[in-house]
Amino acid sequence: MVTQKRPSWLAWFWLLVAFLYLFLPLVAMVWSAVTSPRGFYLDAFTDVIAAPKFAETFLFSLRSAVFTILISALLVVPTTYWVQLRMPRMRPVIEFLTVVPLVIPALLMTFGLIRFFNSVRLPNDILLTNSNEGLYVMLLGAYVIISFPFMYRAVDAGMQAVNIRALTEAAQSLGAGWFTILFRVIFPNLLVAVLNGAFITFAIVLGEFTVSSLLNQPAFSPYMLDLSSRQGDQATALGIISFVLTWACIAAIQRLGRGRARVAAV
Amino acid sequence: MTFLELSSLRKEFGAAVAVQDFNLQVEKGEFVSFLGPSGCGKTTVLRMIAGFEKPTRGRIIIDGKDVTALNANKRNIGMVFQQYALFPNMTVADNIQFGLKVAGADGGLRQKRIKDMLGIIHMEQFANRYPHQLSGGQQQRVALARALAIQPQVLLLDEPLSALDAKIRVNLRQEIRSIQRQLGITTIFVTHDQEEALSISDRIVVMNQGVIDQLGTPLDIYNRPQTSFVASFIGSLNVLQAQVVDRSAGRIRIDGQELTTGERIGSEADTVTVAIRPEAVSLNHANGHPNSISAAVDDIYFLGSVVRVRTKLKDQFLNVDMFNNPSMALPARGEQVLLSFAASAAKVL
Repeated sequence: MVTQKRPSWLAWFWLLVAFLYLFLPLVAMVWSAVTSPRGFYLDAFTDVIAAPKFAETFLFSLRSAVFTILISALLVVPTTYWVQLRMPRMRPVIEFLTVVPLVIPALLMTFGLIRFFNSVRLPNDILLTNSNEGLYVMLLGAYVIISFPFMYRAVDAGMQAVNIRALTEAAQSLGAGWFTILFRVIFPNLLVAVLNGAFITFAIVLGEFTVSSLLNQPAFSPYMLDLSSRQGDQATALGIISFVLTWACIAAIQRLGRGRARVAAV
Repeated sequence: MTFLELSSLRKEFGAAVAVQDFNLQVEKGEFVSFLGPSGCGKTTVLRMIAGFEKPTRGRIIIDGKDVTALNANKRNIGMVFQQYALFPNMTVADNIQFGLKVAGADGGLRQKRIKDMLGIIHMEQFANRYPHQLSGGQQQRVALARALAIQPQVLLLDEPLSALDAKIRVNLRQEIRSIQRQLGITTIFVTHDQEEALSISDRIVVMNQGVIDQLGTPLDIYNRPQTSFVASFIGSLNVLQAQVVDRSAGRIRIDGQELTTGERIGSEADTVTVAIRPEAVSLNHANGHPNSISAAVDDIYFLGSVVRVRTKLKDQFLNVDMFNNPSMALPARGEQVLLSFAASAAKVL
């Protein structure tokens, strides 16, 4: 018979330390947002929610996150698939590229993007960097680059777990072309991996400050900083709300993909 | 009439030659097995037929049409893989109808084909299950049904039984053969398991180091091996060194004892290699055979339906296989015994 060893008091101690380290700041945040010399109050929360900029900036970041996830998935899944299937020797190169966005500071990357795209003109002869649409496209591009390491690693791990070569060849022998193979066989079987990448991408985009601020985009994070310089308790309340909303959105994505993911995970 | 023709096929991977000068004609409805050790090129040939590898040289002709340059998805070839390769996100029914959907078949035809295929593999009640809800044997049956659903011109089986346990392997190989006969589909079966190849094939291609060593019926391959590789690879075999004593009379000497072989042999005093199947040797029964030599029992192995007696001549060993019989009297270790066999059983390689 296998007997399970009871965790020692030392294990419980370290667990408690980790728990306190992670949750004490959160508790302190909530505490400072709901208390004042007058006692318990929720004014900071109601004021933040009532402010029109809150919904505007949050929806902007939410929309950006969704676009970033879609673009990343459409870019990363076929690339990773092709590398694994036809160019396995290129894998170390791609893995190296995935580290680059982590090494280059967001500030430098944004200046680089601005300098590079400064000469690009839209069809109506307006400079890309002189139009809101152009700046938004640049913002999405930067988000895709920032989230690339996380999306790539999640998808790559997913592909390692599924025998994509055998699935591809099976589909080919049944008459399927590349489009059918990619969208009816490979993508559905990588749903769990793509979702994992999507969670991280979502959290990154919602909390990203440097690029959105430098490109002067009405994102959630710059709004939070702006608020903190004026209304400290409201900024704290906004921080808590952003935590809850991010978790809620991630839970929604997870729930959305759960049914299919359960099947694809096998 | 030749249905599948492989002509002068050659495949190189960089500097390595995986397959060379491979020529084969397969009749319609024939079941041909590619048999050989790992790395002999059998799967490479199969993958070239499927269109997953482009031959460096040579041609692949199916039903009179040259398909060498055709993409895999245009060849109408069904393939069953070692790792099943069922689509995990689809049910059994969806897996079976995948190829039909791709081909644009209408719903009625697809439903009929799903029903027919599930009937053939005896899995009617599993239509809505997902692959992970099936056993290995069931998954491979579904993979077979999926490959057959598109009514392919040729069916390719790439070691489809390797991942299954022994009992299921035997049942499924019989089932595969029965379905193949029922549908009359031209089939190429790749295996490294000689028992599998011998039991279900019309013909066997024995491959070694990228070339065909021998091509023939299972009986031919087993009873009349043409090379020392085939002789040693198929079944168990006693391979003995002998000296030619009398060329015209076919007399040879093994460890000091003279024997007769029905084969053509070299010049006097030459050393030749002689192969004798263990089951062709009788223990302590002359049976009128001219070849009787004495040996000492070295060891006895119980193999279930067969008992193998290992005997020692002088320097060389010779195995004798006997059917297990509860009333049989087994010799003791170290006992002197008489080994007898027909002259035709001693093959000179």
